[in-house]
Amino acid sequence: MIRFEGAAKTYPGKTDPGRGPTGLPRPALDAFDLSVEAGTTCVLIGPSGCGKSTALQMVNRLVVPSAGRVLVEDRDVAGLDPISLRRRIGYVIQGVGLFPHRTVAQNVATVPGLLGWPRARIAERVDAMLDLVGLEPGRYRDRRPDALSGGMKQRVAIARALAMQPKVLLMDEPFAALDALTRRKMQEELLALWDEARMTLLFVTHSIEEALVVGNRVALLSPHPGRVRGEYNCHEFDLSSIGSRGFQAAVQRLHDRLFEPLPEAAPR
Amino acid sequence: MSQALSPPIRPEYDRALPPFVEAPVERTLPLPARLWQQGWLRRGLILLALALAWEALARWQDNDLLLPGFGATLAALADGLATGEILERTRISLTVLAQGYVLGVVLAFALTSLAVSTQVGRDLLSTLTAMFNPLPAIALLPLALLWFGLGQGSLIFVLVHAVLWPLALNTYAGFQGVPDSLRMTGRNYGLEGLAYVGQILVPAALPAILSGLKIGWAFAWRTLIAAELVFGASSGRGGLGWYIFQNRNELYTDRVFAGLLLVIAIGLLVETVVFATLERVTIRRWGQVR
Repeated sequence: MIRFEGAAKTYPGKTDPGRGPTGLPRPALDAFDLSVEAGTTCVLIGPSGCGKSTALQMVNRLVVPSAGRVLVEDRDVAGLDPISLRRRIGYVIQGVGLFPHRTVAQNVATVPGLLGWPRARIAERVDAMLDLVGLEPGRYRDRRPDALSGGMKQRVAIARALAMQPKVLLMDEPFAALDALTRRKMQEELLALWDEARMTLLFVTHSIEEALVVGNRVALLSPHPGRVRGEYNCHEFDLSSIGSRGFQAAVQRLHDRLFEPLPEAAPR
Repeated sequence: MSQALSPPIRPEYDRALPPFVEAPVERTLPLPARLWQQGWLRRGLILLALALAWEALARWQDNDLLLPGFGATLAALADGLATGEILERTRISLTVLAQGYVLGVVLAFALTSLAVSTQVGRDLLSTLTAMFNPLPAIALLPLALLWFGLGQGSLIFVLVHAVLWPLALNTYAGFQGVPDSLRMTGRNYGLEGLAYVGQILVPAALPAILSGLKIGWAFAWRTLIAAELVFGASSGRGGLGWYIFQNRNELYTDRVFAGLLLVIAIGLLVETVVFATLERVTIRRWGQVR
């Protein structure tokens, strides 16, 4: 499971070489409390600048909290070795970030390779992972990322993230750059994947629909700094419920909450 | 849409499509069209046309001292190759070139690696390239002669100068253009230091690095020939530039042309064989350039 306990992050103001620090420190996340139970999916949704990505990156220690703490499986990540932590946590980002000079198989084999697995075991795992994300190994193993469409690239990235069969998977707007049809297909496959492996999934998106479909629970964040405004259950929804009245009502409710103005900050 | 659409409004329709069974259309191109698609053939024709124009101009001029023809040049080149003189000169030039080039490349990578990892390195790189990149390498030759004497040391010094700055500049620009998602991925997998540079930055920036290597090679080759022309032989072992200069002094114009032809040929060879192969097995296969 993942638990945030009063996690906060303030980025220092931008530093311009030559001119020194410019701009004020930017609080990205403040007093952030959230629990994601093991084997459930939680979606963070909110406007730009609400610290969704920052929260995600705290989990695998790409970002270190300025205050508070983050626990993964009841252990404070601050006390864990960041590299082995990251290799145990799957991480998928919008930009995909496949290595352009490596084949699909080599990309998927990144972490097993870094851990020095024997060749046969790596090959076996790579094929299993490609099968899992719906890419026929014989056909795609030796291709390079450039020869794949956006959806396929993201599939490879997911296969790479799942190669160590992580118990925790972080996804930062993984389908945002895909067209609507491909996105729908990928959501379907992700849900099937999750249903099989039941990892703890923390997912960031801008899309209310996607949040309701993917999440068991949705956390709505407010911007500047990011704080949790509310948590909503949506485990009853899946792709087939998109047209239903209940789903539309839930979309509307989240939509209204999302656009509801925040109370004015008290004048200092 | 507040305004009602005015008629006529065409009826909607649904249509059941039969399965698409037509075979893809394909036919063989006529032979001339297929030949014309061969890049080497087109380029060969251009070279042939240039050679013919040269020969025609030379015959019309009819003055071997000023402009020997293509045939005469080839004959002089064949003669030089037969006696082995021109080969020996080329070998001397290329040996010096290789030393200077490799040293320049190593220094450029050291400098850029420093620049991506530290603020001071960045400042150092930008200041040094701003200062030295516009400075022609050949302008440093008098100074080099003063410091290193008449010999290979001076040549290598100017060669390093010719290669280092453009390559460092290109490599650094390439490193800066590496997408954030790839950097993030690298950091996420715990790649640091040299592994980070070697596995994330270099492959992603390879198009820029290769173009820097190409520019560096062209600068180095031209600087070397020019430097040899200026001060030529050290202890009787001059390179290709010295061969050109010497034969001009003795008014063997055909040999001057033969030397120039060889300079061009080597340039072409390195460009089309070495760099093209390097590009084909890396950035073209990886799909970073088309």
